[in-house]
Amino acid sequence: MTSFARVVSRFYGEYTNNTSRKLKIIDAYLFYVLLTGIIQFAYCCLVGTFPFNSFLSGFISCVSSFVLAVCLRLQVNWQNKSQFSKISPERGFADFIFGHIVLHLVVVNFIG
Amino acid sequence: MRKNSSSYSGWKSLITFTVLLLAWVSGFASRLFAVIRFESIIHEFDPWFNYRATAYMVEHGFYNFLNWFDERAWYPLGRIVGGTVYPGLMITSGSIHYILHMLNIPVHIRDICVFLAPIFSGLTAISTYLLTKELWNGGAGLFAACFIAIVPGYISRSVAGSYDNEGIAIFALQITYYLWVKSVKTGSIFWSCITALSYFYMVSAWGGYVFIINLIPLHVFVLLLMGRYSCRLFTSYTTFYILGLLFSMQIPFVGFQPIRTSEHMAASGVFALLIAIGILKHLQSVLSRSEFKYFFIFASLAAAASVFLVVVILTYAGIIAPWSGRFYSLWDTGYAKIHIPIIASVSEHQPTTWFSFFFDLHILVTTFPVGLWYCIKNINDERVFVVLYALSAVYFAGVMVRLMLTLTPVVCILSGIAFSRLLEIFLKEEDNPAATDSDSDQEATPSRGLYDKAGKLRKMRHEQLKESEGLGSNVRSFVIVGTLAMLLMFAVHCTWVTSNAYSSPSIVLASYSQDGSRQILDDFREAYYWLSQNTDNNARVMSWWDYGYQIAGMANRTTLVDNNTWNNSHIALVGKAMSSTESKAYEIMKTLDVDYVLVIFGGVIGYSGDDINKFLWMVRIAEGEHPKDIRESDYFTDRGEFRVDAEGSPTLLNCLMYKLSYYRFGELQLDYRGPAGYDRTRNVVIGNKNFDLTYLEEAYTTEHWLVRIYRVKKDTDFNRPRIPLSERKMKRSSMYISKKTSKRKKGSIKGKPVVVKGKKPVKS
Amino acid sequence: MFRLFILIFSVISLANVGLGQEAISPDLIIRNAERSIEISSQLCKVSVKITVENVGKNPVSRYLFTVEPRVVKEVAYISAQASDPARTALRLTPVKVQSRPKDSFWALDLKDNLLPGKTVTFEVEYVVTDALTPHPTAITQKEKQLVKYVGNHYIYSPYRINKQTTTVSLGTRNVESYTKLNPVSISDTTDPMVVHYENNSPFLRVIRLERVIEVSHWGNIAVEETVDMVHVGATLSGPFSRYEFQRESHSGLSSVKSFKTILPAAASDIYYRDDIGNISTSHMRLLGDSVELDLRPRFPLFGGWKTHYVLGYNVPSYEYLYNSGDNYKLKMRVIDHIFDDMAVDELVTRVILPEGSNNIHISSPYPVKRLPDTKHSTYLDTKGRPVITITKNNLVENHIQDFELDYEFPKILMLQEPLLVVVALYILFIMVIIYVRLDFSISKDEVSESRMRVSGLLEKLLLHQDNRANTYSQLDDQLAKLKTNKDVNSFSYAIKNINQEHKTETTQISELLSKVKPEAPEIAEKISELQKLDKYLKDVYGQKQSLYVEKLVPGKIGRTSFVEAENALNKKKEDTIEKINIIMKTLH
Repeated sequence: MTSFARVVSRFYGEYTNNTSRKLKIIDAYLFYVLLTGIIQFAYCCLVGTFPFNSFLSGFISCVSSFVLAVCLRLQVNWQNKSQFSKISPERGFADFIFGHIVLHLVVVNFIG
Repeated sequence: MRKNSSSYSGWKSLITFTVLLLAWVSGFASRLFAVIRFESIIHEFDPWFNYRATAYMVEHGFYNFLNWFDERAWYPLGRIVGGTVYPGLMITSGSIHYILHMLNIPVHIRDICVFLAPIFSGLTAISTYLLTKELWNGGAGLFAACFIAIVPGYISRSVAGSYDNEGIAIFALQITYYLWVKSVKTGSIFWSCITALSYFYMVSAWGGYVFIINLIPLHVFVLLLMGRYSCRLFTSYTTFYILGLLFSMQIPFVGFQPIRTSEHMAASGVFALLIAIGILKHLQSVLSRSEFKYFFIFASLAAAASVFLVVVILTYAGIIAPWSGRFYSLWDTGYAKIHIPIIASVSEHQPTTWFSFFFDLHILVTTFPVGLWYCIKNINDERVFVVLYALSAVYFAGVMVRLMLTLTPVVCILSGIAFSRLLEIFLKEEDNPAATDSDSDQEATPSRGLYDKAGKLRKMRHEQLKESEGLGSNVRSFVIVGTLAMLLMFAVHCTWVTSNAYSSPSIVLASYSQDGSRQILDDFREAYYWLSQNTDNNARVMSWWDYGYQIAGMANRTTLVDNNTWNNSHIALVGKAMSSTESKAYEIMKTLDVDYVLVIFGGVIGYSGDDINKFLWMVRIAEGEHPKDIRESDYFTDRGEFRVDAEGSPTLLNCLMYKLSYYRFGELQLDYRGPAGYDRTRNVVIGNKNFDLTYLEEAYTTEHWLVRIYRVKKDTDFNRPRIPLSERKMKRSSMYISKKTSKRKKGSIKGKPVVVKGKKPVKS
Repeated sequence: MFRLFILIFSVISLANVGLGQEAISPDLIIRNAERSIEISSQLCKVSVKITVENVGKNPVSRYLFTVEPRVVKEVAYISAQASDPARTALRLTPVKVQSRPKDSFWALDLKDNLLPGKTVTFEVEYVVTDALTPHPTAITQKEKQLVKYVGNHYIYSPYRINKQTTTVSLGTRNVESYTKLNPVSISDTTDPMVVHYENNSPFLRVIRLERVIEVSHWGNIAVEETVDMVHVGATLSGPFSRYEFQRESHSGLSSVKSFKTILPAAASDIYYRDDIGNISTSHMRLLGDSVELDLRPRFPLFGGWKTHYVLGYNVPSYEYLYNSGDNYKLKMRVIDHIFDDMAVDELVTRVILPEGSNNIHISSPYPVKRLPDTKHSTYLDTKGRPVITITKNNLVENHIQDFELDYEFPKILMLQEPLLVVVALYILFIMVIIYVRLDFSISKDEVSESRMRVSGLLEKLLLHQDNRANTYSQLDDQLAKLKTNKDVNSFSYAIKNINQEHKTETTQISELLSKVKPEAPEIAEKISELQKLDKYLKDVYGQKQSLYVEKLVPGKIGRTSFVEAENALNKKKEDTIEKINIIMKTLH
């Protein structure tokens, strides 16, 4: 258990030191989206899924936002530069915005 | 030198553009056989429904179309068309129509529908080019584009007039695959979004989207197994999947299926797996300790297993629907025959024969394994995809004739690669002799040395040597001539097949008389137009389901069953009516409020696709639902033969279908020498010639007897039968003339006591 | 042909004198009236030859003609002509007479005023469309069609008739019954005459005919007729049997299998279709003055059966369109032939003029109703073409007459459509050019841009490297020359140029190197290595040169040692070249 705590603290330390500010902002966003998704899921488990499409659109929009943000994080991270040779961070962000526009247009349509 | 290089790229794009344009034009032109031979008309069965729906949408607007409840189909149930249709096709042609009319180009919606598939074949060629270019190179892409433009396997579904989902779906399929490969290559969110959008279009267009949503996860999964995980794969798949999932649920017909049915579960499983691996990799990069690696491998395995278990449990609990029948029949070819005769009764759901592989693909069948081998040999992320695509498509094409369609594009791609590789090897040699010549020139003056032009030394010397050693110029030219001859034969074969096999509208038949002149048999339209003009607007027409869409589309009358085949028991009821005796059938027809019965009868002209030849399927489907009343064995002779001549089983010779087909046919003498009632389709003299109809009367029969329409008499017709004026007179005169003979005559006239007989079955 | 003669001698006096504008002149009496009723087709064509005498004192200029009030509505067409050899047409105008409000009259303007005591003879023809009723109203397929004609034994006229003769021609021998009448002299003018006879001629009625004439100034007029047709004879009762229809000749006598339509001689591109496509069963025959079409509906028309079709064709405009300057006149038929003895319930004729036509006047040969003008937009239209619509009910063959339509059309507007195409294409190309030239990337893509720049620089580099390589080969040439002729002066002269060239190339390359450096350091490294190698190579060449100039030419060196030295230098040279080549290959 102590080793686990040690690992976590080391992990935390490494994270605070080695992660750029941009990535931290994204991580905060990710955490927020994750929380929203969990709350929605819990709510649906407790109350029921009656307007199923509303639940689905809400939940899927959370998952999508999360996924898109993770993708953005991967693209922005300089460690992955070799894999995304053609994608600059600005390009990545523009794509991210594009993805969100498309996503939310559909979500608004689907939520009913 | 610089000038050369820039003009080289200019030439390249010019050639690419020209070849693609030519592929488009030739693909378009070769699909026009039917229009030139016949006219601009919608073909076959399903296209008529699509056309009708499109016309409805154009007339009433998109939202009314989505909410369209069609009372004219599946009487008395009706059909919610907006929710049971893939609207992509209608929206595509509807929006083309809308744009053209905005520009004041008054093209009729029918013409748009007729020419939609040929136009999209050009787009398919371009998307195939793009896909192949991503997979291999531009040359192979051009080959593939040319192949797909004229290959019969694809033309069979996209001739002018064949206004069906497949016409645009193959384009959507190819462009989705192209975008997928592109997004895997770049890892860009943008391309993944576009992939998802194009997947959305595919979902809206064709039920075959299931192929995509299983193939792409399979690709990802295989890449994971091969240890080719990359962040690009993660971004492209996760974005594609989650957006595609959301988009696909926007189609009313698909609804919540993507999260409820087993067909879609593989995709979500792979999504979960990919996320798990993503987390693992991330943590691995952060913490490099081996024990954590071990721990997380365990965790990911557990996660995968739990996802699998959840899916299984949900399936078992009924929340996730098990695989549909059509899907089962993909795995077990015998399944459909036993369990779902209605699926098996469709000829395009039969297993493919070897002949049709060759017929539809010709030399591509032999060259595509070569391309496959090249892809496997020089494997990379996207070639894994094409390999999987090829293998799965080959399997499915073997199971169902219809799925030849999904095989065709990949065969074209791989053959394009094979041909391009071949010509790369053999054509490049052509300029090498010159190069080596100049090299030897330089070597002849030793003081000059080799160091002549750096630009010329791009090619490795040992490579040149190897090739020129292996191939003499004769061999080279033989191979090139052979290849060209093969391609030429391919083109000839394609044109021939298109012209002969796939360009018949099937609602207009053409026959050739001995002097070579062409005669058009337009009986179908004759009958449908008769129905549309001379029956009550709300008349209900009973026919076998094959003709439902055509009746609705051309005659605009209410049908009981149609090609949608969503309600098996309703179809079985119609099948039961067709296969029971007239009086029993009348009961069924009365409960269904049938006004007219339409049968297709080919006995006069020898048309083989008529209802008597389809009759066994009616019996089988009816037996499936009403095993007490209908038994298939009753319709066979003792020796197990299905025959309509005098030896045929009495059940058959007295069933409604038989009577409606052969009513008064027994009197018809087709040749002077031949016997009366000789059925040209089955080449027999029919068994039951002299019979009369009690509950129905002939309403219309077309010129060549191909379509026969009967009116179902109402109850009032029996209670107070109307005796025609002429018969009334005859009776009177015969009574007046001689009372002695009248008795005998009376007997023969009253040999069919219409009134009395009519009451019996009411009681029974 | 069997003719049924009913001879009636009668003296009729109708002495009612009206008070209205139009009064029945008491001075006129009809000396003789010969009426012939032609009912062999579905129409009832009546022609009355009237000899009128003026027994009064004053000349009379007008004669009032009337028919039974029951029939008035059904009179589709009426015309009158004098009985002179020229058969001058006489004018008929519908009028009302106040004394007899129930009757409708046509006032006939006599050719000349009828002087007292004189007689004049003229003929009035009229066509009644609904005079025949099938009786019985429903028949089976085998039966013949019997129709009943209910007319009047006497001519219905406001004047006294001294003698009248009526001939009814039926066109058949099979008469079921007819009312018989002894010649009498009566004053009651309505006595029903009933003829019940067989009439198997086609009882086709066009319910609605929509005729669209689209005028194009490019030389074409497109005509399209949409026809809704019904068989108004005795309806078919009971089954239709194809077997009997095909095998028995007397079956379905009253049904219509086909009919002939006559189109203008210049008609081309004829199509005959309906909602579901071409009707493939029709034949066309080109006659001298017309095109005869044998139209077969998809199915034979029995009593009560309907059909609907569209017939269209093009005619060249020079035959119908006349112009002087910007003024145009279109002369075309209001209605054209559909089938013989046709009867049309409702006609709507639309004329679509080219876009920009104005000042439109239409004059028709008989009164028609003009509906409000509309707009029609088709290919390359911007504001729509003017559409003139006229409509009329109850028409027969006699209505096939020309209307005249005058309008103005500025010729300059002819250029509008080609210009539109040109502009559209121009815009398209401009868009493509703009799209290709402009950079639409969302963010500045540094990586690919720098790559592009680097590749451009590399291209240049290759060029320079090529040139430099060229100088070496020139040097080689010069050395070889020197070796043979040993002419140091010319050699040193030549070599100066070569060296100069080499120098410029080298400086160019080093400039490129400095440009590449910030973009792609690894490539710059390679280039600098290339430069080093080149320097080395140059050195080797220098050594070789000095070997030649200083040792070989003056003969300071022995043969073997020279060869050795040269070989060593050559080997060095080859090695260097090999290295350079390797670097070049990586740069590609």
